[in-house]
Amino acid sequence: MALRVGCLAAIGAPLIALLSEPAIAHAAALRGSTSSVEVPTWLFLTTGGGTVGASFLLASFVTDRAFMRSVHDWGFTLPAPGRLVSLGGQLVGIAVVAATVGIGYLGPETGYRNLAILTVWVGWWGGYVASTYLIGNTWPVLNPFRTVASLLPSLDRPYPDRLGAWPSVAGLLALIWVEVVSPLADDPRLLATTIVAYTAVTAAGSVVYGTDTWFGRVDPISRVFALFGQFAPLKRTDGGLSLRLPGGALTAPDALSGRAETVFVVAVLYVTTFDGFVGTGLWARLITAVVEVGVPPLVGYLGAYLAGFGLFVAAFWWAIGLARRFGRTYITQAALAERFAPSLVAIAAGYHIAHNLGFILGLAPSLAVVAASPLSPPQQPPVLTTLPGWISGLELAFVLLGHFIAVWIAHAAAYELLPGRLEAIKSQYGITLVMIAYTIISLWIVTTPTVSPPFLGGGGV
Amino acid sequence: MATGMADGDGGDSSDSSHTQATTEPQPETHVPDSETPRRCPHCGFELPAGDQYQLHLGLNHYERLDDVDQQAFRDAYQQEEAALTRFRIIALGGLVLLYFGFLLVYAVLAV
Repeated sequence: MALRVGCLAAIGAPLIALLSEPAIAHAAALRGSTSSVEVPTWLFLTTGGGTVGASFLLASFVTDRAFMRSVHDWGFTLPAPGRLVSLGGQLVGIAVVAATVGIGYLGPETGYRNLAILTVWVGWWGGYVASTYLIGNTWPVLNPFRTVASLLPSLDRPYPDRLGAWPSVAGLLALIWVEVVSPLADDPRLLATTIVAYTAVTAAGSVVYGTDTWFGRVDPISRVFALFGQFAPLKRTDGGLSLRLPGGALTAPDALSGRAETVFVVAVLYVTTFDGFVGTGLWARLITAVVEVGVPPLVGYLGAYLAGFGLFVAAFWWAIGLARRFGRTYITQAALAERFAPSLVAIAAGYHIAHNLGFILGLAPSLAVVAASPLSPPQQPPVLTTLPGWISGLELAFVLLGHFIAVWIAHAAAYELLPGRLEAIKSQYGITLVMIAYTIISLWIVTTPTVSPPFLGGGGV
Repeated sequence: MATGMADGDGGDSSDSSHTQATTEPQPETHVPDSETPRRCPHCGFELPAGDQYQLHLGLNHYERLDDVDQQAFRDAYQQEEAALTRFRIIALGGLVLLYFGFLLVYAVLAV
């Protein structure tokens, strides 16, 4: 959301009005103004929560373990792409990142006219990320940082096992923090410098620990894509490309291992939510009040960022505690969390698409036109200012679809873990409550009109 | 099953953690002091005594059970069926309430 707002801020006042119109229209259309029915916001949000609750009740009617396994095991194996395709992918990745950095430094200074900004935020963070959960994770091949790092020699120092996935948790929180508080979505020079710095960090990490270890265990971006790839229908395996139902692989016992990976999944869900939350009017009022008391803005942002993360982890942990109690099991809370956390990936994917669909469609013409002449783009690259009303309905549908799949994955995981069928259903009480609460929050963020986060962006930090 | 999980698991009166060492990896378990678990003789997995234990035996090791245990599993499964039926009736009631509740609220408020 910050980047959406960031881009909006960059596009200038008249365009802000034009571009933010769809966002306001979304909210209005979702509450039915186009069909002459007015629904109060609270009712609209409760309906979303109620739908998720109903999906839990419906899932509770499916108690046949054999049927559930047959659903998840459904799939085919397709031939794997050859070496040539991989090599082509690597070259494309390198070319895109080189062009992004080059144009970032040499192209126009205004964000919405610079190809670097549009490529990273519209093409990559919007469109490409969606492809990792809708199609499959192609990042291990495309990843230009990995291609660069693989050319360097490596010391292959052993990676300390006790660190596990914790560095990726910290790395993800740090990356999104920088994205939220810095004008990374407006300032092409800063963006290019950040990419160069990121390349340097990943190259250094790979030299010390080896590329496979670095990008397999430490690099937060690779880990996010790997998680989304678990949800995707296509997955690269030793035998070729396996095709399965979306989310099917998330019920596997080895989808996650260790407490840090569990927390990482919660972090993925949290950072997208926070990114959206700082663009709401409620946050603008909150942070303004906090700053008026005398707290420096950045401290206020950081405090809220970390407190919110703590709250998400605590809510999830509480839900798992209930699962352990109602499930009448001796399985540790950490082991239960490991099996239930993958369901959150489906929610994160649904939320990502809801959050970005209108943004991608609106700015896609800009990306195409600016890419055609990156060094001398038009003064006002074209944007789609009015999207059809059903787009916002589609966004809503994706939020709910993500939750439905998540309810199903958690349901199936419970049946794999617990011998009692009734206990398996009851173990879902806490998780369902947390999901209902999250649905309400995320629907509210997606449909509430976006405002520019105060004290940040545009004017710099 | 996983790394770094033996260091206590929040919220429980910690006493001992047991890692299963069997061919098929079982999730890590942790038994509160006050309870005496039944340990599955076939895979070593710990469960509360009673129906959970019988169900585990039947679902995971049915072929290796003697007649008494097989019968105990079938009984536990039957009893569970009855409890499930009760739960389904409540769940159906919940769905009906949700549906008509929202229908009514919409009828009143969405004008």
